[in-house]
Amino acid sequence: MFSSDSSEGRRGGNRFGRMLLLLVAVCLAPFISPGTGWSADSITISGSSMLFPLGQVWAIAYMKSHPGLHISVASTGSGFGISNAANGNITIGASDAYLTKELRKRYPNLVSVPIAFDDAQVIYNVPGLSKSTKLRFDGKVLARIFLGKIRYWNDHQIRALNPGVHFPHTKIRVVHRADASGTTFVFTDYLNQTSSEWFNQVGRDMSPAWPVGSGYNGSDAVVAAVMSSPGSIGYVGLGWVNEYHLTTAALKNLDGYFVEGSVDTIRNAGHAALKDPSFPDDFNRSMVWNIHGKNVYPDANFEFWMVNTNLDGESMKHVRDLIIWALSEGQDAKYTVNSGFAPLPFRPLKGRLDKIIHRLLPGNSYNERSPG
Amino acid sequence: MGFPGLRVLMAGFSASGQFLKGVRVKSEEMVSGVESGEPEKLLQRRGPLDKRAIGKESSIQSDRFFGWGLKGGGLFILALFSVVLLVCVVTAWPSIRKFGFSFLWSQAWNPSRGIFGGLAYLVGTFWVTGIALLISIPVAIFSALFLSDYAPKWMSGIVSTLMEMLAGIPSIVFGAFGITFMVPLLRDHLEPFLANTLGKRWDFFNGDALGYGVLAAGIVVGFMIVPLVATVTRDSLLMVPQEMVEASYALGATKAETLFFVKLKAVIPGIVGSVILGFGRAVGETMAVLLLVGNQASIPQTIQDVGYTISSLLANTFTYAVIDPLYAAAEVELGLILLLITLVVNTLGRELLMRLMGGRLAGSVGGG
Repeated sequence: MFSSDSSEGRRGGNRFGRMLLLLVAVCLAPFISPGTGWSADSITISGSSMLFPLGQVWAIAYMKSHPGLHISVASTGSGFGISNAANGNITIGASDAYLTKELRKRYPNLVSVPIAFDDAQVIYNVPGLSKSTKLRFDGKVLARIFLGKIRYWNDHQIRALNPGVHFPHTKIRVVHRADASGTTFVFTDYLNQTSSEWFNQVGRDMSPAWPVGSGYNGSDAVVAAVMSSPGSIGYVGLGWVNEYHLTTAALKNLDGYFVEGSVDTIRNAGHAALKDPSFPDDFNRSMVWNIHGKNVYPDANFEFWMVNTNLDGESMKHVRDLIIWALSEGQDAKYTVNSGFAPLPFRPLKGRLDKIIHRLLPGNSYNERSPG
Repeated sequence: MGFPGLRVLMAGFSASGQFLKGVRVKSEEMVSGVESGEPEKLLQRRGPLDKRAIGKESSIQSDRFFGWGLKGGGLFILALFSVVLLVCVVTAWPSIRKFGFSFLWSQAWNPSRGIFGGLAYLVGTFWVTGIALLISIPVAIFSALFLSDYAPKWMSGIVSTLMEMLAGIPSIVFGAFGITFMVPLLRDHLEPFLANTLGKRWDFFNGDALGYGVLAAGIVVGFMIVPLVATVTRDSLLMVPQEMVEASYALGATKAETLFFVKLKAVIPGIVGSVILGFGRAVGETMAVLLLVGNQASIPQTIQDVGYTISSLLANTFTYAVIDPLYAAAEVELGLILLLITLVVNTLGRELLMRLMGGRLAGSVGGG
């Protein structure tokens, strides 16, 4: 049927073919061009949604003082941050959780750099309780609540920890995060280390199998759910507590003191961890619960940036400069505390940070600033 | 082609063709315009045709390219479907191999221990879909009947337009509506009422009135698919031959009798087709459900309980799950099950209709 083949037609065909080729080339260009996702003069930070606000204010301030460098920040979840920093899709992966033994084995090239402190705090809405009434919990009772074994607020186990508080006979509504979250990791870490029941039945995870309750997407939704439904109990990070002036519970720490989470008590935990000679230099251990001291909050954690040691030289220089800036000037309260984090303590960190920086770029240390 | 997926896809397309009614009407007008037009106009139209005859060879050439283009488009759909299916199966394979069929009836879901069973999510999905269909089908059919036969013309125009607009509202907007309106309504009024009346007799209606849960999600998803089901049903009703209606009146039937026994019966295929479409939308609905269902991986025992659906689980945790191949595999397997369910329901629905209507259906889901 289509047997005739005039020169005009063939030319038309060639034109069509060329156009098609061009179209295909345009479509495929992003996939085959070298340096997927980042180039030498740009840094991509992606991962933890908890760290996202801090990353943003840092990026804005840093780009202002370093023109020519572009930093893009995205909130995609810690899991994404870790795996994509490992396979080179992004320059820096933000994570709320340290690298567990298993993850270190899977991604041997990743170095975790601590960049701020955060925590998980228990918030509650008990009808009839005045706003100034601070509840106290220990890990065992908290775990039993989140396991669904303590079902009413006036349970004797809760009353035993809070003498003098009059509790109503209201059902406890457990509120938790539905998305995979670093806050959940830190919170379940506390339960995991303090309650054998929790350890055996659920464990520590960013997205554990919650036995009871209802899940909400994001900390803001958790705050809204706890505020709107009487009898509920949930957990959020420091930033949310400060932003909404929430009443939080005091948690029992390793030495038996009941401590509320605040910038100071979280920093105390960090100081204690760094002074502890058994705390590993690569920070890959939980600082939940295993820290001694009086004013030490038992449920605090380091926030991390994950960097791949295989980054090319130019990118690595930019990353190192950014990290050093973030760890020095970036720790100012106007960045950290205002975004809901506690700043890192410099002096106790120095020796350990030097080792990390050295791993990223041999021959450099924390104090050295590269020219420019 | 012997490929079941393609037929279902095509069924979907022909059904969505129902919404292109306006376009069809326009082309009909054009045809009738040509038939009744003056001969001079027809002669004028022949001008460009003659020119084409001169450059016949190049036009045949362009025909061929056009044909290739169409073939490419058609094959692309086939290729896309196979690639999606293949990628899903390959990604899900570790989980399929490890858990086998027990994945379907095991409720244990513990990512940190590497144990996965999808029962809670499957059951939750069906709870939400079931409630959504129970709410939407009667409402949609009644509104379609009203629009096609009872509503005054001006009203049917307005309501039809609004309904089509409703079908286009993004699901996140429905989710926000659910949180700000449905959840407080359910929590403060409907759920306590249910518990105090029906709940006294049947535990099924009891609960602790949280607002969030399968009921809230089901109701809102039901609202979302009402326009879909109603539009398709109304279009089918409008296509019922006038002779049938007149014959019914001639036999002495009242308007309601005609509507119920003649028209409604004639459009059963259209209704079933639209319900299948609605099912497909409800089963995969993500954002609105995620905001309302309570996201708790336990099997709902009562209508007021919280639950979890497959699509909201994936939306909530998939970016995290990629860190562990088995975790990701388990979640993709759930997605695959969702895909298979939709395929099976679509295919079974069509087969059932073919049986029911004795082959009269011939390719269109909405035909009357």
